This record gives sequence, C-alpha cells and structure tokens, in this order.
Amino acid sequence: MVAYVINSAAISFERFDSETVIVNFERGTYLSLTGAAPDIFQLMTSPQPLVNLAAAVAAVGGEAAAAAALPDMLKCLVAEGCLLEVEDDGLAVIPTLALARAFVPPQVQAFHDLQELIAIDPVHDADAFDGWPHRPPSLTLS
Amino acid sequence: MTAGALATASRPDLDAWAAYAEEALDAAEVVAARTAARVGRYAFGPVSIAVDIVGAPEYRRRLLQALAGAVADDGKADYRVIAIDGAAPGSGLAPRLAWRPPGRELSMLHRMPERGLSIRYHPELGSWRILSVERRLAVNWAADAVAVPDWEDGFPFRNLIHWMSFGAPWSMVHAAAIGRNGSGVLLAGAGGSGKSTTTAAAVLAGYATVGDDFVLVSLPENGAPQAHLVYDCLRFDERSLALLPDYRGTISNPMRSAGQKSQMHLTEHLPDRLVRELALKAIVVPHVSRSGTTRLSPAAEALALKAILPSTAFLLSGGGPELTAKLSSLSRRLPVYALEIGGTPAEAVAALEPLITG
Repeated sequence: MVAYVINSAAISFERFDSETVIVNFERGTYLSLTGAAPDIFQLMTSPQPLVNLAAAVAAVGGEAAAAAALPDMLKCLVAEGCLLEVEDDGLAVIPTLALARAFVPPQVQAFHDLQELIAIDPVHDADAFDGWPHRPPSLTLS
Repeated sequence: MTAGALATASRPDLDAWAAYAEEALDAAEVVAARTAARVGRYAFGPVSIAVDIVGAPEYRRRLLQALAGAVADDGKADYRVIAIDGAAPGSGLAPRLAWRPPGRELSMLHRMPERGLSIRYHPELGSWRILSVERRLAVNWAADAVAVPDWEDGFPFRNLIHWMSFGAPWSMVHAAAIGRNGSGVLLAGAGGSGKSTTTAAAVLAGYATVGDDFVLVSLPENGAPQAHLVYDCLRFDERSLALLPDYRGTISNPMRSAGQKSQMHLTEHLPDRLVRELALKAIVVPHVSRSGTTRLSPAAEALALKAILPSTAFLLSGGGPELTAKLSSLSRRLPVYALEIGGTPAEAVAALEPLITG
C-alpha cells in the first residue's frame, strides 16, 4: 500500500498559527502551506496511506473536499520533494484532523526564486548514525 | 530527492573526510608558522576570530577590507582563521585527497556535527574551507587568490563564521539592520525587495547600521535579540544608485564583474553610521510595489521566516533543522511588519521611524 511521509532528510519546516513554512535544503526551494494543508501535512510525520488521509479530511471537510483537494496537495508535495511515497502495509489507525477553525481547502504555494543559489551549492549534513543521505527509519522505498 | 536517488546514493567515507580535514588543518598550521602574518582580530558580538593570512598584500586587502568595522583589540579569539593563497611564495596547494570521491560528493559541504568538523571544496576555485570546532581552527585555502571572484570580497569567511554558529545561540542571517540609539529593526528580503536601498537611504538620513547583506544575530535566553556587525559594506544595483546618487563617489569596486553590485565601505566614508550592535525591536519585510503608496503594516510571523530562512540557508550552506529552529525562534520573538514601498527610499525610511524611535 502506498503511504506518504515527510521527507525529513531533505526538508525542515515550521508551523505557525495558520501557515506552515517548508524549506527544501536539497532543492533550494521553499513552500507555504495554508488552509487545511498545515494540519494534513502534520499527519505525515509518520507514514499515512492515502485512504487514511482521505478519511481524516472527509471527517472534517466532507468527502467531496477530500476528493477535490487532497490528491493535488499530495502530488505537489511529492513533486517538490517534501513528501516521500513509500510502501507500508502495517498501518490501520486512521488519524484525525483536529482543526482549530472551519475547514478551508488546503493550499500549497511553492517558491523557486532562490533555486539557483543551491544548484551550485549542495549540502551534505553527514551523521555517523543515520548515514548518508539521511534515510527515514524502517521504510521501504518505492 | 527522489526515491531512486536515495536507493542508489553511495555513502561517503566519513573517516576519510575527517582525516583529510585534520591533515589539511595541520598543513595550514605548518604553512602559517612559516610564512603567515597575523593581521588582526575581529569580533562580531558573541564570536571573535584571529586571522592569519599567507598571501600578497592585495589578497590581504580583499579579505580584510569588509571586516574593517569589526576590528577588535588584541586578545584571545574564539577561533583562529588561516587564509592561504596557494599561489603565494612559500605556501602551495592544500594536501591532495587520497581517494577520488564519486559524483558531486567532492563539492558538497560535509558537516559532521559529532566530530565538530565542516569541510567543503569549491571545484571552480580549487579552494578548501574547513572548520574544526574542537581545535578552534579554520582554514580558507585558495588555489590561486586571483581566481576568487570579486563579489566574494564583500563577505569574506562568511561560510566559516556560519559554521561556527552550529550549536551556539546565534546565527548569521541574510538581512540588514538599521537603528538609532542602540536599537533598531531587522530588514529581511530577497534581492529586489528594497532592503539594501532602504538601508542605504536610512544611513544617509542619519540612522546607524550593522550591515546590509549579512549580519550576525544573537538569541539570548533573556532579553531582545541583537544584531551584530560583521561586514561594513553597502551594496547597490544601478537603480539604487540612481535613487541615491550621493553614494556615486564612494563606490569601491568600479572595475567589478558584469552583473555584480556596486559596493561601498562605511568604515571609509561614513564610519559614524556604523555601529557594532543593535537591540532588535522588530523584523521588517520590505517589498517594492507600484501602488504609489508606502506603508508599514503588521504581518504574520511566517512572513518573516519566509524572508529570512530560505536565502540565509541557500547563501550560507549548511544548518538544516538547527538553522530553521533558530530563525523560527527569531521570527516568533519579534513583532513582524510588512513594508510596502511605493514611493521614494526616503519615504520608506520615514515609515520606519516610529518603529525605530518609538
């Protein structure tokens, strides 16, 4: 089963009240998540199958909202290197979205204006325990 | 990174990289003991460096001119930095690598926090930058200083100083800071945002600055974050110079490379406007608009982080989650404002005045 998980080897992120800022240190890009996107993104600190994510969004925004917005958000974040698609068959618990406000469709804005700075300046943050590159633990990469 | 790249990437030999870093630092100390001149000590708030240079007077001038505002009295420095021009008599190139790293591994920053080592090779310059926290020693070893591009002169040793911040409660930040009577605001924004022009206009209006492109920000547990002087330069594109023609006679790099900004040194022309530190009261994120209106308005913390973190991270390699945490903390600890600049630089400065003096 395909699941999604934050690509913590490449990015770091900070969540504010209504916005999450993501920086992709490998690609030289940064992103802004608004609406329900920060809450949905937060769910993927551990691998989540699409069906679980869809159920979590549908519970607060309705099935139509989940069908309309979730695939685009996931596709964009995978394309931007912020999420990894992984194979994981051991997940059963459906996460819940605890929204602090009414459901607003997830919005993802990606910025590439600084990308040329990193194209000539790759970084290897080596770690004797995690190896190189950092690899999410216990995952089978698709 | 794609899953495929993860699956196929080879793992560098960290022991080999660490051994090379130590070997190169040893070699730099030998070269320095033979030929280097201690050229001075420089303090940037919470960190100080003692600089030894092996190279011609022109190489020394290029490395030190932008640091002139940070000269410190003789005394013990936190780090020793040895800068070597490999083409200078009596120096030579950095030691050869004993193996051939595959692909891009050679040109990547290798940061080994558990060993306190950061090492990077710049193939286009043939130069090494290495820092050992344990030895409190850094080396900047150029194959030939003549090949170092002139734009490097505006912010020498910036990577080394940035790497010194790992694990410390301070950070280099891609931002400017202006103020008065010891306190002021951080101006953060990418190229074209109006940051540098507003800073230069503020200096003409009598405000003090701790720098335009990069400043060092300390994050004390108690008290306001402080911005500290590192480099004494103001930089201008042609549009900025057209708006602020008073600076035309001060430009220090008239023979600059195509596309590079003009640069002036405040130490040389307006030393009284350069201060060592400013207590920060706010973060201001400017942007140029065509509205014809200049106004300051409160903004979200996320705006500050988007203005500060990406450009700092990409211009000063390395830092990752630690840099994100520090600059997020900075963004949360200060009020954030958006400065819409639709009028003249002087109007932008006037819009900031209540924030700075209030």
